[in-house]
This record gives sequence, C-alpha cells and structure tokens, in this order.
Amino acid sequence: MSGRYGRALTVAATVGSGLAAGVFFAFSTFVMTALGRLADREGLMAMQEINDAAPTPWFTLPWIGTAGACIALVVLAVRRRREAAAPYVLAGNFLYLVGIVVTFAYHIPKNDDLALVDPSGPGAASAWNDYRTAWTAWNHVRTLAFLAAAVLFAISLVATRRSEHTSTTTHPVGDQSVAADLAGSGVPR
Amino acid sequence: MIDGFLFVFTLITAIACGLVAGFFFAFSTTVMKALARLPAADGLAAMQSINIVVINPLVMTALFGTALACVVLVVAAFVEWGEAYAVYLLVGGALYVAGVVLLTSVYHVPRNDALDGLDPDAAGSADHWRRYVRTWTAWNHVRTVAPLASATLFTIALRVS
Repeated sequence: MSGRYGRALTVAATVGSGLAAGVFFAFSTFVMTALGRLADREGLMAMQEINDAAPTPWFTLPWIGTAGACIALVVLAVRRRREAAAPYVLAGNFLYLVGIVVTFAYHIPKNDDLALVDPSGPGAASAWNDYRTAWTAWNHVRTLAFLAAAVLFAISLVATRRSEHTSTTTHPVGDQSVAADLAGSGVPR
Repeated sequence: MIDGFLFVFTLITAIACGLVAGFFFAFSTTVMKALARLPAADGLAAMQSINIVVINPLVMTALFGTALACVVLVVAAFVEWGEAYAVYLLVGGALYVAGVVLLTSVYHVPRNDALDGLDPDAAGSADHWRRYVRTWTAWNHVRTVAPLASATLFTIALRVS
C-alpha cells in the first residue's frame, strides 16, 4: 500500500510471513524426518518437548507482530481498494490467515492430544506415527500458505511502486513526493 | 530505483532470506530448548538425527541458493554503486554471506561433525552435549538475526529510489 505506513507495514508483513514460512519449512523438510528416524518413544518425547517449549514470547512474537501488520493492511486495503496493490494485499492476508487457521484448527489440537500420550504406554508408537504423518502433511500446507503470503505482499510492493511511477509521468499534481522530485530535478514550475 | 530483472531478483532473495531466518529461528526459540530438556542421551541422539537429515536438496538449495543470490546482489551493488539502493544490497548480501555461510561452515559444521562421532550413552557425552547446546544455540541466534536483517534490507531496497 502507498504512503509511509503502508510501505512499512508491507515490508514487515513480507519479512514476517517469510520468517513464519521458514519455521515450518524446517519441520517439513528435516525436523519431522529426523524425529521419525529415532525410536518411537524418543521421537514422541522430543516432539512433546518441542510443543511444550514452543509457546514462548520470542517464538510467538513474529506471528503476533505480523498478524498486527496484516490487520492494519486489511484496513488500509479496504479503505483504498482502488489502489493497484489492494488485491495483492488482501490475497496475501487471506493466505496468512489460512496458515493461522490451519495452525489453530489442526496443529494445536493435535499437539494437545499428543501431550497426553504416555510415551511408554501401549499404543504410544501408533499414536506418534499417525500424528507425525498427518501433522507433517498439514505442515506443508501452512508452510506454503505463509510463503505465498510473503510473495503476495512483496508483489503488492511492486504494484504500489509501479502505480506511483505511472502517476509521476501522468498525474504529478497532488502528490507531495512527486512535487519534491520535480522541484529537485529542476523542472520549471 | 531498482528496475527490471534486478528488482525481481532482489524481491525473491528477500523472501528466501526470510525463509532461512525462519528455520534458524525455530532452533533458537524452540527446538534446542526442547532437546535440552530431554535426557541427555535422547537429546543428543535427536540432534544427531537432525544433523544427518538436514543435508537434503531442499534445505541445501534454500541455504546455498540464497547465498549465491546474495553474492550476485553484492556484485550488482558495486556495478550500480551510485544508486541509493546499492548500499542496502551490499550490506544485506554481505550479512547473509558472513552471518549464514561463513558462520555455519566455520562454527556449526565442525561442531555438528564432532557431535556426530559421539556415542550418546558413553561417559562424557552428556557433558559434551550440554556444552554443544549452549554454545551452538548462542551462535545460532546470530545466524537467525543476520538473514532476517538481510531480508529487511533487501525489501527496503525495493522501495528506495
């Protein structure tokens, strides 16, 4: 979105979504495979500890921060829906929301269930293996959703920039930055 | 302003840097803490397994493909040196190369290799593991912050004119 705040929010949303994608990318591409290679009991215990350690302020900060930027961007995009960037911003927000919804609707309940499994009890191995397979499949979904959100936010920066560039060449009046550019470039006023 | 190919290239590299930052972030904030809470032999075995599986085409492409892209952006910074965005490309690219590639190969890889040679149940392995977790994680914070800064600088570079 245009304007100083619009741009800053979009930069934050792009980087934040990329970071979120990266966290889940790690689980999709190697962490879950690594835990799956361990003995069932050890793999299960490691995952329980990971789930237990996850909700720290540091871990949740980027999601909350990015979600805040996303909400502000939705407000901007709805109010200025004629801007070229608005559709990309809204699509990016939708995908970010998909990632969050998958996490709350699928992963968190499954993690809570896993926390109750006794690693030494009967059925622990099958519970762990079922969890790992399905959890990882849905983890691919949220990785891709956050990554696509990052791409769309970045594209929205391009759209904003393009439209500002066009307005420089066609409708210079009424835009302070363009006026400043013209003043700086020695165009007669 | 960045234009055409360089613009798209910077944009893709920015997202790739964010992605790389994210997976080190997972280790800095959660995974290592979790493994440290397990009995030492189990935590160590889990980390050994992670260090083996992490060497796969997807992760290596993300890490070193991004490194290559950063080198290209550093070169572009010198070529386009008069431009306002050049300094962002230079610092962003240099941060990634130093903070991810150099740090990983000089610090993390040798320590991972040493850990790989340990028998989790042998005497002394637990001490070695605890020391590894502490120092490895501290330096992992650096390789989380460095690519995150690169991602931010590259994204800002898209906007400066």
